[in-house]
Amino acid sequence: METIAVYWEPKIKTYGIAEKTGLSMVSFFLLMEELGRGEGRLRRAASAAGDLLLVFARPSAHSGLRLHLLFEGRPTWHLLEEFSGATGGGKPSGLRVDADVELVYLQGPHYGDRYGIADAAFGALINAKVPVLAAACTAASIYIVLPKDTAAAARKALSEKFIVPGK
Amino acid sequence: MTFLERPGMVSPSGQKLAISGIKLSGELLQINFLPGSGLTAPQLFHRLAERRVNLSMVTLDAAGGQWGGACCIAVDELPRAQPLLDEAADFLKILPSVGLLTVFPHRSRYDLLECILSAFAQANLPIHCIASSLAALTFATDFSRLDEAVSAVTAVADLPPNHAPVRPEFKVRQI
Repeated sequence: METIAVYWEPKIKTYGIAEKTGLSMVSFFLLMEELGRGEGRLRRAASAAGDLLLVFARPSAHSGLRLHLLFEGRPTWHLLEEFSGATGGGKPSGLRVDADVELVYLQGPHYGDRYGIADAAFGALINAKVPVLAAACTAASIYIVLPKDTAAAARKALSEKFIVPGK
Repeated sequence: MTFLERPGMVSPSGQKLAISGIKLSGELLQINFLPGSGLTAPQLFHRLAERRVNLSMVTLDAAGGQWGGACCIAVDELPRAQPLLDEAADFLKILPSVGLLTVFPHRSRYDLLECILSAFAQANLPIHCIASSLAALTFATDFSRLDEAVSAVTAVADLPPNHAPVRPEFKVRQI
């Protein structure tokens, strides 16, 4: 069954644009053969990390994934030691820590079914020269990770393309 | 092998991890773009939007100034995307038949992520990319193996009684 939806919006409607600051993002390469050898180390790493906000991964050139974990707070040395063994194969390659990153995110009706939503969001940020560190979009949500002190500028840029009805 | 016999797949309490639901996608095509490919993600998104192609899922990073990532489009939108994919073939890698398995909610649980990663690995199921929201955790795997992926996840996670994975029953198409 197919439902046809017509959207004719001068500005794309959103349920809201929100931001979080004071976050950290840890990234590393994860080989497929390492996936089953975590032995609880990722879980133990959680004891030294803040609340996990986002997980996302893209394919890497090494037959595996480039995994990103975004969590609240700052990374500690203990956390980094745990992440260093998180894959069960010693220190993961490409370990990168971005501290003090920020997140801007928005949701809207049928975003997962409508073309042009990601284009509008990333186009707005590029036009406003807001740098992007990473992003994940799934279902009706867009999450964009940004460097420190840029979330407010990102919200302003996104507000040029997205509108909260009634505001 | 039972859940408890699988190393690395036991929650701290020794129990399966409770989830509220699993949602499955229809058949998708995954477009991978590796860093340094010469085509930035925003450029790709813009050109797909010009062709009225929806992105069902996006994951990307631009650390170091180079865009790398993946996006998924519905297989039935391929005819509109094909000219662009042909034109940019040197920059892209196409996975022709993937499906998304979404678990919700993740409740910020590292152990749920680790258990599911292990479950996919032990079932020899590929993970092509991952994306999450504040509530849901989505894995892309082979479309033909989505049922195996459900079995792998339900070996480590408990669904509510009488709950079956939600499959797409209708499709929204924007005109």
